[in-house]
Amino acid sequence: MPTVTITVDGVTFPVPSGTTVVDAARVGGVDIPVFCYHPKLKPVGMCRMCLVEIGTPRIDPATRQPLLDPEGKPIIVMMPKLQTGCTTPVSQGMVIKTATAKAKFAQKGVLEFLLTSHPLDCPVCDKGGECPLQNLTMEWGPETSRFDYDDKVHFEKPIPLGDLILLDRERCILCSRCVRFQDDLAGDPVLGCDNRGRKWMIISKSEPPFDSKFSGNTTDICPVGALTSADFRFKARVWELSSKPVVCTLCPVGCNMTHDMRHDKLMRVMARENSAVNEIWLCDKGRYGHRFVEHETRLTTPLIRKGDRLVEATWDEALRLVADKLAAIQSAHGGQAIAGLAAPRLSNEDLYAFQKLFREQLESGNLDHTIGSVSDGDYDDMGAMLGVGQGTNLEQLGAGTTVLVVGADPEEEAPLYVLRLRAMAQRGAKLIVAGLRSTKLDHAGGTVLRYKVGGELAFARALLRAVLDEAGTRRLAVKTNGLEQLRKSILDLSLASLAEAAGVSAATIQAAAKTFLEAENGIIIYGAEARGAGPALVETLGALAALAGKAGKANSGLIALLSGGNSRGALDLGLRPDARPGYVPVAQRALGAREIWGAAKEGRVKALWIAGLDPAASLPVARTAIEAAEFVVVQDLFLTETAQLADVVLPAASGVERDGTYTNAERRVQRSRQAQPAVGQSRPDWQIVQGVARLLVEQSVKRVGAAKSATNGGKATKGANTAVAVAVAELVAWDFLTPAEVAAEIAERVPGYQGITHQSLAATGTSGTWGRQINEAVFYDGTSYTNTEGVGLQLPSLIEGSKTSLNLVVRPAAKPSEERPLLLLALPLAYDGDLLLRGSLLERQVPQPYLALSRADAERQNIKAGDSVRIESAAGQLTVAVRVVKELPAGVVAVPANLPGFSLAGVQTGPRTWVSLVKLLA
Amino acid sequence: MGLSEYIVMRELNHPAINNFEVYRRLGGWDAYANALKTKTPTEIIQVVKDAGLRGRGGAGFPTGVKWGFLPRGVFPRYLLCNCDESEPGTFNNHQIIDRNPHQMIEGVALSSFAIEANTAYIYMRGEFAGAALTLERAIDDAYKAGFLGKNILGSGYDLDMYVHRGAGAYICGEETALMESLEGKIGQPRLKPPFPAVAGLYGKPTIINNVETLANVPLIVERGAAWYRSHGTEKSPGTKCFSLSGHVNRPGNYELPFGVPLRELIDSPEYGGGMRGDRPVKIIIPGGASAPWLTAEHLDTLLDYESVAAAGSMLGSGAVIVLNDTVKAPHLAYKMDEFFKHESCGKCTPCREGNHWLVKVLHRLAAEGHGEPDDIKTLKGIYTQMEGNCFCLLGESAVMPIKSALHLFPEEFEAIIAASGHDIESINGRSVGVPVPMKRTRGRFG
Amino acid sequence: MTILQANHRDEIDAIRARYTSPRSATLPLLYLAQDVYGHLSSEAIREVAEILDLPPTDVFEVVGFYTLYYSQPVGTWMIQVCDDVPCCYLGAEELVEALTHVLGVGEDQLTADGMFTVQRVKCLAACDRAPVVQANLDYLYDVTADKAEALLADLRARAADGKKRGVSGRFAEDFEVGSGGKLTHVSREEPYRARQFDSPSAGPSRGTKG
Ligand SMILES: Cc1cc2nc3c(=O)[nH]c(=O)nc-3n(C[C@H](O)[C@H](O)[C@H](O)COP(=O)(O)O)c2cc1C
Ligand code: SF4
Ligand code: FES
Repeated sequence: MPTVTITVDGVTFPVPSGTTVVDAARVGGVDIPVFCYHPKLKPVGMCRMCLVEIGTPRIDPATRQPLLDPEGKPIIVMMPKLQTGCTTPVSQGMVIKTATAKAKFAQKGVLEFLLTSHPLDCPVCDKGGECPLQNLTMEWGPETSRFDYDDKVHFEKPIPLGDLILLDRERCILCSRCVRFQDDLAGDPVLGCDNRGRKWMIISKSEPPFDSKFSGNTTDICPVGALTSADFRFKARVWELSSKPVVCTLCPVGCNMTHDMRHDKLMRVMARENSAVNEIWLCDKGRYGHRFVEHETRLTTPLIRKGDRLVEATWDEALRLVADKLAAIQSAHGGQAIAGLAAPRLSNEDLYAFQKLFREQLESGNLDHTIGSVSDGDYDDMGAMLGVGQGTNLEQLGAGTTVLVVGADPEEEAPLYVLRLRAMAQRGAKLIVAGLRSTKLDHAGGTVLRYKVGGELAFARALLRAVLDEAGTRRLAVKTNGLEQLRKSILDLSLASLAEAAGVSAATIQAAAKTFLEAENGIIIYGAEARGAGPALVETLGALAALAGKAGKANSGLIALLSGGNSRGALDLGLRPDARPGYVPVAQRALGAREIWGAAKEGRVKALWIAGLDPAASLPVARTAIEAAEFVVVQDLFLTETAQLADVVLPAASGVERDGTYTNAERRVQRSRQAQPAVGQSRPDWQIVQGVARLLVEQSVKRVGAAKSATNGGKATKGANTAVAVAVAELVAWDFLTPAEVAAEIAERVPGYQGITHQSLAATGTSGTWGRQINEAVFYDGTSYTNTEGVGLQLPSLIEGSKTSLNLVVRPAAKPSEERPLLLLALPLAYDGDLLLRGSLLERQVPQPYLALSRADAERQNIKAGDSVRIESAAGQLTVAVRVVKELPAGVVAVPANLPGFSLAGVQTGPRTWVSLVKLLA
Repeated sequence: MGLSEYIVMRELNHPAINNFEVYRRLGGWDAYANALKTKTPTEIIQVVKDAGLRGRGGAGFPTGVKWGFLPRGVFPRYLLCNCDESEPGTFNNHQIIDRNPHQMIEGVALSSFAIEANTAYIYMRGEFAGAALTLERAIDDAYKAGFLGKNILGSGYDLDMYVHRGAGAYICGEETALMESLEGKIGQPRLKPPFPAVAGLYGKPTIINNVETLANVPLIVERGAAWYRSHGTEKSPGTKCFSLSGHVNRPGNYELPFGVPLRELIDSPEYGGGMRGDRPVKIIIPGGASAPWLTAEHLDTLLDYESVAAAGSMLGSGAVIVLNDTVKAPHLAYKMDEFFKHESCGKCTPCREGNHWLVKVLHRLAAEGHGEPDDIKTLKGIYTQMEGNCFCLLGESAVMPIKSALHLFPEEFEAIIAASGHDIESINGRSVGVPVPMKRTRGRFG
Repeated sequence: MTILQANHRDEIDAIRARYTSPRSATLPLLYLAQDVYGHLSSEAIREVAEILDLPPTDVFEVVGFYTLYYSQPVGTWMIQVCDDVPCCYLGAEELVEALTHVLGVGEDQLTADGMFTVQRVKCLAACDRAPVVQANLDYLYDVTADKAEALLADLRARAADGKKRGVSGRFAEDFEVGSGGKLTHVSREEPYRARQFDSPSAGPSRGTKG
């Protein structure tokens, strides 16, 4: 990066050119006070706090060189007026004076002006202690007020701007950071200013008010206590808090955050800076969705079924019962009669231990990390195979990068990606947003492509075809199987016919393909809608990335938005019936969730161990199966519907009650620390698993011993000793003292995870420059915490530097249903029936069940918002109230996927369900 | 020193000139029609440059020079005619539009052609609702006669012209706030650079000129730079439509060559007709509310940009407010700053808070009639902290009235404070009559 | 469909056609909505937002910023008195007092019969005709306090016209107020005349004598 040399308060140093004076001075350790300026927002220069003296060298017009004084120093021409440091870019030789009498007079003047309309209620203000206005006033504000009027602005306070954010208008200093964040960064222009002059004030008139999934960030960047969150207001003084670094597991982004604790209670959640993941932001789900931790309905002791009741038991009793039952079933029916499901929000250590218990102790490969509902789709290997390569950092991408988003709704599936993709687009990246329906991302500044219902595969193939046409037969960086066959079969299809089938013009497809192909970095992001179209689409997207040369390297490849905070970890670590950790295929596929339910019902699977999932709540077949099973263990935070059917319920500690690592959508492994002691007697999942494992080992030692002594007539022999020794050796393998030790084993054994230990993760350093730093309270306080736990390590994609090769198969396209006209989409919602939202303010924002209908279809069938309709599929029917929305095209209806007490399972027939619609008369 | 023929107030020579037919018969639209056929845009810009036409919106910036700032080859471009006219005391745009609208429109059209803009908006302050209708009718006439629209007079040049009404906000006269308002937003000024000529309306190159400025263009193009320069002074060529108001016998708009003495404007029976009721002149504000005050001592000042600046004030919009001895300086400062407080957009701190505070103190002194010992110091403190520190010139302008009042009439403040039972030290050793030096704070484009 | 969209489709389309960006139509559409509904209720503002496909907050901002949009009900006649320099020194204060006195309501308040709202405003750019008033943005010139009562009576008599034309000034005209308080229409076709006060012959005043 080109640099220029500047002089700030007499000290000369180089800074990157183009930096603003404020940021440049900071490089040299000089703090220029700011209020409206924020490093992540465009400068506006409106608060006037950063006024400084600025001069530039006088240039000789003839030589374009600086003119020198008799001493040979450049002659500096100071500008007659003070300049705002936040809006002025530095230039070569610039002289900046921040501490002259003139500058200080102006800065103090601005401070005094601000205080004329600011209440001095610091003692009861949530921002007190981390407020730049307070800090500056303490440092050099006037001691007494010359403003001897009793009319600091008075407003009713506080005003709820929405469910989550309250506005104290008296405290607002009108820097407009919040408005600009919402407009420019979040793309939710829901804040504005009413009135003008000194009556200017922040308003929100969206419906519902402050309708944004990013609202909490405004409380961070508000430089005073004007915006506070309902979740934290008046709870604690910030200096009493201790900040514990954790990783959010509520979606696959894996944002870095802190849990700010007072004693052992969670007071608030704040962002922790990680430029490669969440910069300094959090979505509201992450920020406000962690109240489940302290919810009164948390399980605190193990429970054992006595008749139709679950009664409290000791850990010893409960674990022993589990071990005995499982051992008995295993010895009677073999390991294949036992199946286990573990939630994709558990840590890598939990998941690894869980599958290890199954595979090594119980000799069962019947594993999964989903409940096997239709919406869960297939195991996503492509996102690891061609995942964005090691070293990917979206924050550094802009011009030169093309991102193709297919069938995803990041706002709901992985909210932070909205901010990140918008920011990339603002830095010049090309965004191509393709999907069946309109989403927030359509307004992120990219090209929007709308393929027709059932046209997604044709769309992807058309892109592939266009890429083949453009790129010809150049050599690929990744190893592939079946390339020729694929090439041939795609070239057999004409672009025109593919475009026609996709419903997107051939020219548009060619342009998109060209943009993708010609970019230096190419990323494809796909989400629930795309995955719901079946594996053929995702495979085609993979082929597209590979053939366009956008795979197997940093900043290129695929990002799969899977549901669950650690789905990628679960896939990586073999929580699936068809592969061991590290995507090592098993010789014979065992049972996955879908098959497990059938097998349990038929009695082939007798024991179920379900950790952190609640299949009984939404999947009728699962409920039947669980009821039919001989023995069911549930390990969870709450007494879920599934737990209520269990024989043994084991209370698990939540993610923030222990250390652990998680793997995000970009396959970055990050370390999360324990923020608080485990609730009640709950234990980390890996510990529970290990407890049972040890008992099983013990039993098998005894069993082996008993068997030996039985054959030897009770006399101890040498051979029996050997058997005991073997068993003891295995026992040692279940001797993890800390999750770090589990992680060490993962690092040792799981392909791809080499070197990913807790120590190495902690050593990955701090990230970004804008986190809160000691003595910088004056400056950007309240934006985010500095990362002290390392920023994580990214795994290489499987195709990178390994022997794996990409299988390019051609699958037939699915046929749409003939008799039912409408495609039913299961809408992923950020605020849905997830139990983790329990106790949070977000619960109020979980909608009532509804069916979203396009305006065209509503008009055609004469249906109005609020009408009841029945949808019918080959599998069943469902009655629900209608919302008419503009985001859907004709021919598509959508229903939230996972609302409490409302399940689509009864109507879904497969990844794509076709339905018809009947309006019910009132 | 009157004019034999008026330039922008031509209705004084031709009373029915606001009728399209009459305007046409008098040769109206000929300059434009001829220019389309015979002149290139560059030639027109050159004539305007040579004529030395200076912007009448306040800054007096040379119009032709401003037009020359447009980046080469970047289109579309826009011409915005600034008819926000809201500065207290300024009312000549209002009259030009009511009485001589076709010439103004022809000026807009000619200037659009000169800068190669295909769309022109006339931004009217919201209160000019009736005048907006006059203009709309006049624009209709021009469309019907083929002077606007597509391929005008077969020249290949297209021009659309629209009237856009603001809705009550002085700040929208500031050129960047005007563009924001025209884009349908609240009218707050934008950060400069980029300047409008580079990135203005909808981010495209844009030229903004005042009504009076543009109304001069047709005659300049028709009769040439030399003719234009035969009026006014060397550095302030042409005529100016002075808006004379206050305690004079004949308040009104008077078009006079630049350089006319202030006294003549006030006293001549043809113009101001002297002071009402024969009371003495006390304060003269020669360029709208933003101009530092002058007093009777300055009656011999010539009304051109340079002379008024030399006298310590500025010609600004050419609004001359003349007030007699019944007006108390603290009260005038109070009224003026109340205006700025009312119109402060709220964007920047010094203007938003400073004006409020100023008016608080001034209200106590001027309206309630009592003061605190430190009031004068406080007032000075407030305005020195505003001066030079605001985002735009509105806040800077608000400094002028109070600064002038304290410099020229400190004893009036002191008297109020003394009458409230406080001792007073003289604040600046009798500076009565010494004008406040004008700060040249107008930016590049004003 | 709403009243605006149903009854004013053509006008809305014509307004939109003037601008490159739909958002630019915000101000004119708000004027239209204000005339159709009498003032800009939340619903009316939302309707404008909907027509232009804008976030409602953006339109509320505009209504709040500009003084000629009324988010509360206002009188059939919105009377706006300029109290700025120079009107202030030529009788505006007395005029405001007279108007509110005759009407028996404070400034910015709506009279019980819904006929009038009196409001102070800043310079109306007609300082030569001070004191200046706008009634529904019709200019009224030379309005001294003694004419207040007659003026109000005249306006009341023309209430139907005021109502029809609305408060947004989309059909505004100019009037001068004669000595009896009678409104005389000022045609813009007529040439401009400078104001002539009663004693023009008084000659140069003391202060201006060289
Ligand atoms: C607060 C403020 C208000 C202004 N109001 C007006 C106005 O009402 N009319 C106007 O022509 N210029 C006004 N200006 C000046 C304009 O910004 C701009 O300089 C002018 O329109 C340029 O036109 P000109 O070059 O023809 O003078 C104002 C400037 C400021 C700072
Ligand atoms: S000086 Fe500041 S607050 Fe005042 S009008 Fe300009 S930007 Fe707005
Ligand atoms: S003006 Fe620079 S920080 Fe606000």
